[in-house]
Amino acid sequence: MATNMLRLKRFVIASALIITLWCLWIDLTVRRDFNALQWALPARLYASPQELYAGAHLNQTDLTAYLQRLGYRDTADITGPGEFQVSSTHVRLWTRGFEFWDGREPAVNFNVAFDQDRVRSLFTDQSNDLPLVRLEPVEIAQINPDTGEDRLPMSLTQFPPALVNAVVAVEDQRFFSHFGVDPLGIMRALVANLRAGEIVQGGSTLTQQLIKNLYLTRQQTLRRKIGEALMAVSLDLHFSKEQILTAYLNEVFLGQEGNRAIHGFGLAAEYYFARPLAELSLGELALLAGLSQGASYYNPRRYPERALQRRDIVLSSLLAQEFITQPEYEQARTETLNISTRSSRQRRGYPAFMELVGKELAQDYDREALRTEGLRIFTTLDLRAQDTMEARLEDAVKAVERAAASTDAAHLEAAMVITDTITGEIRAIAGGRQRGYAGFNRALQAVRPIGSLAKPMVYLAALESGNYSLASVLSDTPISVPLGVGQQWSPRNYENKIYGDVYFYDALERSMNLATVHLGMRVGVDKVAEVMTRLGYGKTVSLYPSLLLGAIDMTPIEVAQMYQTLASNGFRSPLRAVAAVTSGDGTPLERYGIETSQVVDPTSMYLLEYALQGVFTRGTAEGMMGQLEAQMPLAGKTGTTNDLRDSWFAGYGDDLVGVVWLGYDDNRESGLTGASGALRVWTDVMGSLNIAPRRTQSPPDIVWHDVSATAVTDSRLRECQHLKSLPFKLQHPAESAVNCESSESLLQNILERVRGLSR
Amino acid sequence: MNLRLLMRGVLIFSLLALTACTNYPTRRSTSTPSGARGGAANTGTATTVLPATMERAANPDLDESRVRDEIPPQAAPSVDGSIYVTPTPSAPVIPKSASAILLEEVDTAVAQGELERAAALVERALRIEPRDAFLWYRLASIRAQQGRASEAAGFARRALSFSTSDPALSQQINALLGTL
Repeated sequence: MATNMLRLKRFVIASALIITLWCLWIDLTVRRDFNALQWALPARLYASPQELYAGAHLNQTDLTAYLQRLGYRDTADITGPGEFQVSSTHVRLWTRGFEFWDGREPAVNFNVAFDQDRVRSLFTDQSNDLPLVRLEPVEIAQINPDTGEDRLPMSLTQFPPALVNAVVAVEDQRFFSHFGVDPLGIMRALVANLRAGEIVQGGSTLTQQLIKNLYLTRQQTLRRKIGEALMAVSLDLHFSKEQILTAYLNEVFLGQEGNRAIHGFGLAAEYYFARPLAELSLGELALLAGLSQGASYYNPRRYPERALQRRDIVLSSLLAQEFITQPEYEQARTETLNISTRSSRQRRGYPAFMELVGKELAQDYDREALRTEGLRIFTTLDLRAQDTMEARLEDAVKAVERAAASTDAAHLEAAMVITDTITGEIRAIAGGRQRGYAGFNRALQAVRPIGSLAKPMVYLAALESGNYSLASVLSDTPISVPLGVGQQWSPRNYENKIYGDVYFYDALERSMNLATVHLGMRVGVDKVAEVMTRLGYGKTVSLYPSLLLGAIDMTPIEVAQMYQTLASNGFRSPLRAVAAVTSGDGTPLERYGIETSQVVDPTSMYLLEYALQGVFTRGTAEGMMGQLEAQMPLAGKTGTTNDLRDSWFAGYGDDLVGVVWLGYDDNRESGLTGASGALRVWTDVMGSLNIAPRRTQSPPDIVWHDVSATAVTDSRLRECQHLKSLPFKLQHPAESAVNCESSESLLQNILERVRGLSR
Repeated sequence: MNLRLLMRGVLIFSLLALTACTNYPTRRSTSTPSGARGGAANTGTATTVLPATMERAANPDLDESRVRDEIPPQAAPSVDGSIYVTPTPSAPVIPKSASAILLEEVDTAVAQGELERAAALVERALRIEPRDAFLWYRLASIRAQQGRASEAAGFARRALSFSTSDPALSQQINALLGTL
């Protein structure tokens, strides 16, 4: 008997000890974990923000489309940020404001008036003109943590009181008075559920739910339940109600999109309504509050009736607990479900551009930082350019494909890069012909011979040497270049033509191979290679004579870099896709600004551009002149490679540079020249983007002279009946065989004539 | 005798006028050494633009189109002449241009020693007016102040490439280049 008592005593003591230790351990864990609670936050990537100012290229449709992408509501009467209103004469909008790298853009309520495709003015209701407003940037992608969890954490004061009330009212009425668990609440829930015949109330407190969410306990054993309750008590003991509530509001699971888990009410507002939490109505907040009970069961996209029923239950609780008045309740109940539609395009994002962004970020940020620190990454992507390009590309390629009459099912593929002429910012990228294509990124990875796209570098090297002018006479005649022991390279012209004596500019405009090889061999292959490097090509160039005709493999983006330098008149600016990075709360971190260095003298650039503009007016791109009439003058160059495998076009206006490549992935013949393939696609896309005409300024040492229309090398054959006016470098006039002017300058000529008249 | 002299005078005068038209920009950037700049006149791009296709007419002295071509077909964004009727009769306010307002912010940022933010603001203005020589010059001077001489030189040369129509500004830019 005594031994039994002793055993029982021992057992009780041992159990008490174990339970105490367990409690202590739980207490320790909870305190440690909650103190260290830090969510892994995905990096968010933004497109270049739309700037509004008088004269900006933007029409009313563009603006409203942009606002809709930002989740702005089209209303009849603007009452707060995130709303707009369209009238016959202008668009009124109230922006949300945004924390940019260079400072905060405040929320503004103002009007925008348009003049066809441009902004005419910005003005407030007090008729004050606003010089400049920057809209919020559109989020284009994010880099998710491995857990797939995504959230927009907020502090308690940032949550609308109505939401907090709704959550407390429906989930845990006695939250502010209980000690972590709520026996009364459990009883009440039991009664309510029995009465309703289904589960309308949960018995666990917000604190318990938070624990459940944080520790992801799936199996509901009794031991787990008790453990959870103990943890909740511990949490309540050590932390304030406000801390626990904030954690709950940010932690609770509220939806699933693919492998991305939507946590917290801040993100749920964006996910379901495409608007910030602060802009939501009472009904919308009640709907979100109702989701915490079962985000997939009440998913408003899939089960709108269930979601609405649940919302009404939340509203009733709010009314019953006198958080809202009867009229507010009635009003909120009549609200229709206004769930945003997430377009497939938005979900697909811009994978080709994102790949480049990822590459650039990898230089300064490790993978983990991008996935966990909630960075905001501001990219250079121009949504309008990217969307227009994607919208046109597939059809444009199809049209070319039909024209090329390719026989089998193989797909003609495409890549395109569009950059800003002045800043080197990348505006748009396509890695394939298909919209939102996410596979092999040809723009960054397809290395293909560039063909005649190399010719401008040959002619630029020649102009820089000081031995050539646009009127230099080149010989487009067969040539054989010795390559080594017994080997010869004998290039030919397209369709085996031989043009004979031709002008320098003409040989480039019409892309003559033989004249180019003659010229390049004189100037030196090494000089041409050096020009390519100077223009921004980063890899080593092998010095084979065939380099002169573009036997060098490059990716479209490498080509874009070289042509970018040509387009900005000899100023090289590294192409960039990332502009700046801030922390999640807007603290400025890295910035990647414009860089520029002059790598070609302006006079040589000017002369080269004369011929590259001539490509459109007289040369290989002449066929597109009609379609681009409003955009002329433009500059560019076609590129075709051996056996018509690759079709290239690189061209530029004052604002944009565009590079198009067309070809087959297995490198078969495409049957397309640069002009019959890539140029047509380029014209379609860049025409749709309304590329701006070139207005290149003339350097001071440029003079214009008349030369004979036909190129001859023998002065005795000089023919000055028909004249051609060309720009020359002051110190380097035309050769005598074609010079149709005496040595005096034009002004002297005019003065002569005037003197003659007045005499 | 007098008539011939008069005719000669008229002819020479008109010739000079024509030359003046072809050699000078339609709009001059006003730039003051302090860097403060503003006003409606600065919204366009100061350029001496070449004939549309870089082609020159055979007889430039007789060709009126050359003169016409000096004006960009896409007129500079107009900030004046608002069509909106002001409800209260007040003096017409000439609004500041977008880049002028940004330049004010740039000056503030520089004064506060926030040079990188100042550079970011100039770049923002450059996205709006990419061919404004003064903006490139401002960026150059900020980089110079940051001790980033080679970058400053790049921007200064870029500024020079757009400032041919503004000798005073060109002089300033060259002075900056001289210090780098």
